[in-house]
Amino acid sequence: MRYQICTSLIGLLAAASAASAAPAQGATPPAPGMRAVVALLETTDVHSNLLGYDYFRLAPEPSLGLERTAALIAAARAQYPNNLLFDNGDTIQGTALADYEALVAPLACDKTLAVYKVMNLLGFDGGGIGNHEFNYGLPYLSQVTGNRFDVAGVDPAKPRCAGPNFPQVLANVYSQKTRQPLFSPWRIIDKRIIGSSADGMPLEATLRVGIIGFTPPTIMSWDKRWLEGKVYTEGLRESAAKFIPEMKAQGADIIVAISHGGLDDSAYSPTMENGNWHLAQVPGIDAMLIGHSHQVFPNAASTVPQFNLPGVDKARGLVHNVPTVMANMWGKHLGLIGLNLQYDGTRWIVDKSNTTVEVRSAQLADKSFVAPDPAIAALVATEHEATIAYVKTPVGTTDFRMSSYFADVGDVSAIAVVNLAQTDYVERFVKASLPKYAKLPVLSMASPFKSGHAGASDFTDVPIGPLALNNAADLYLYPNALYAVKVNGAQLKAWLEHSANRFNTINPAKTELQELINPQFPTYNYDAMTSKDVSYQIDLSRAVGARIVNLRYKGKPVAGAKEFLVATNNYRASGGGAFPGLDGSKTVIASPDTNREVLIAYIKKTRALTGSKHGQVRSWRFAPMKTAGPVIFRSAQGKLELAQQAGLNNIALLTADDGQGKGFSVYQIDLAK
Amino acid sequence: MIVRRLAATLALCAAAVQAAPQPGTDFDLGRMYRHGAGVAQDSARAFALIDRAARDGHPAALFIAAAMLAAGEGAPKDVARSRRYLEAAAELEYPEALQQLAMNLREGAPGYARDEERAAQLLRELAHAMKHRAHH
Repeated sequence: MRYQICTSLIGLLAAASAASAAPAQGATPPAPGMRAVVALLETTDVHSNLLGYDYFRLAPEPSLGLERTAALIAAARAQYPNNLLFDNGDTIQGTALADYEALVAPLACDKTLAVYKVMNLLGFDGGGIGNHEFNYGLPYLSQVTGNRFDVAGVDPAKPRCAGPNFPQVLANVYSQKTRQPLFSPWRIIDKRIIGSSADGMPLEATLRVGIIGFTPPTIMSWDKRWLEGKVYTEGLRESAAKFIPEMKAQGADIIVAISHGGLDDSAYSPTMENGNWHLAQVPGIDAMLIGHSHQVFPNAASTVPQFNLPGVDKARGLVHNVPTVMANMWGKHLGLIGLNLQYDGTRWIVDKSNTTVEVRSAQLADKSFVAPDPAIAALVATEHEATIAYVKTPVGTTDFRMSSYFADVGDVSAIAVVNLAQTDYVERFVKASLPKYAKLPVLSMASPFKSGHAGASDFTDVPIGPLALNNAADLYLYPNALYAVKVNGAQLKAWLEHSANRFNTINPAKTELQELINPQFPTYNYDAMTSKDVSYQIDLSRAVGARIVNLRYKGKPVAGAKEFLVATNNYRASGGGAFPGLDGSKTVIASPDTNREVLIAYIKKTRALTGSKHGQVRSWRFAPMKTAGPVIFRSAQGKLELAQQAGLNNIALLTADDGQGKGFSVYQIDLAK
Repeated sequence: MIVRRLAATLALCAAAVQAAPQPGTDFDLGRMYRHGAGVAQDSARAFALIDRAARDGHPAALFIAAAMLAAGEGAPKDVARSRRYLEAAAELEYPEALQQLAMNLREGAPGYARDEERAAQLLRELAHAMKHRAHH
């Protein structure tokens, strides 16, 4: 199957064609009949993953990082001497290293961002701009890309700073001030290529490759705080239809769309997030490099809805007959379109029957990974080490051990500070932005995320002393955002009843051993309050759903209609754990700040955490109950002393080794105390 | 007054639903029936609406419908379908679904083989997906 490039635009461009068809100065015009294969290589959604390393676990992570994509790039270049390497965007944000360069030790003007240093080394030919490029604001983006944005909020006196050595294109984001595109909307790259004549003789020529970039218009919502009133977006289709004729008029032989987004066959809208199903139908695009969705395309086995649409060939990598590739994320894959080109005497034609589209993985069939390129680790060693030091930097201190070994039975040392931080945040948020809720009491729920399910070492355990960022990750394992919901007293009680499913119902008359913990109900769903204003008891002798008794706020019984704001996280507020009434419909605050960031900010502000203020206040007790037989639970071996330090005087060691070989002891709880 | 306004909203919603797929409307309406918010509580009707939104690819509806199917709320309990819905929501990068899958794999929840590496990857995807959310 063949098609002529830009046939529908020929008429439109007739006037310009005589001048524009001339190649760049010094370029070699192709000989009629010349054939060549040109590889377009794509990385996308690298998210600043340069080395195979996880900065929160402070451990190697070979499944990601440009240092391994480098091997895929080298192999592809060896196979395809004619090649261009492009990045699709979402490049400068996503790891602690990126945060370090943007926020902790802001990059000096004469320094190049680590990810661009690596891309310069790898010889990228061009790049697009993703939505996450806007996450740190416009002045930073202007600086690190070596631009001088003429836009509100960016100081026009600032000099042009170091940036990538390759052109970056973005056609659909405009300065509100100048009505001009923020970046170059498109560029033409003159590429020397080698091919052959019809009779197999080697030939050289210059291929003029036009690149045009797009980002999801939804940046205006996601990064509203940075972008509102400063820039505006245009629909993908509108920008493409405007600029592609310009590119053709300026002599582009082929047009490559570098579009950060996926596919969506919903009715077209200029603000749609994933507009490439529509973009592919704009005349003149010869290949699309897409991204954003963190998926692999083509993939014949894909069940992802966006690749099972009309006009999408998920096996061959065609979208409305346009060769298209999406190379997953984090440097795990390399996308490759092998364009088979023929020059017919006036223009280059893509022979699609011989054009290939594929995505190559850094993970091999035997689950091992390709070898990293050592030059990359050497190039960014300084940034890497500085990031590790940053993650280990103390943000405060604690005079008590914060652990979850006995969280199920009342040790709040690992969750009390989370509740304090969340309450503080919501109270300040309401005061600043939600005055209509100013009279509602603010409560907070937190659960121990680590409680031995994955083994005896799977507990939160932060020692006395300095607290660093990686400790905050131990205290708050999940990258949730802080949310708050509005509930009434009845709903609050129902919430606590659901949490109490963590415990089995205990029969006081039973003389045999009874297990306290219901293993079917995970600890991360055991929400508890730790406020001096709230008290409640869990009566384990009663049936599930009727075990919360004496729920009081400031000493008074909580009426069913009394309203509260409860600080929690997006998982819980949106229905995680299937708590009654919580499915997103009660959310009143959906913060952009993560619970972990909120916790870190609170620790920084407080500086020194003390047990009496930040680690001991309990809101709940088991209702006293004398049992005829022992009630038992399991926790890590050798930790009884911690229970005693937490003031739990009703815990005893029953069996030092529970016999399962996983490092657990059997402990007994006296519910009468 | 509020009841009248709600009734009008429901009528509009119902009309919209009949006209064309409106997964957002179905989901909102379904949650109202689920909680009896301004309407008589009706779990079966709630599930039918939320399920329709789910089948139209609404990520939050997929996540809630998965929970309802797991619990047998408004529909017979169906663990296999619940899991399909959860995984479909995760494929759409719905953060809560990514987190639920990560938790299931981290802990080896019933039906899931423990896989810490995959769980860690899902958590990284979750951290990324959270950046795509509108805030209020």
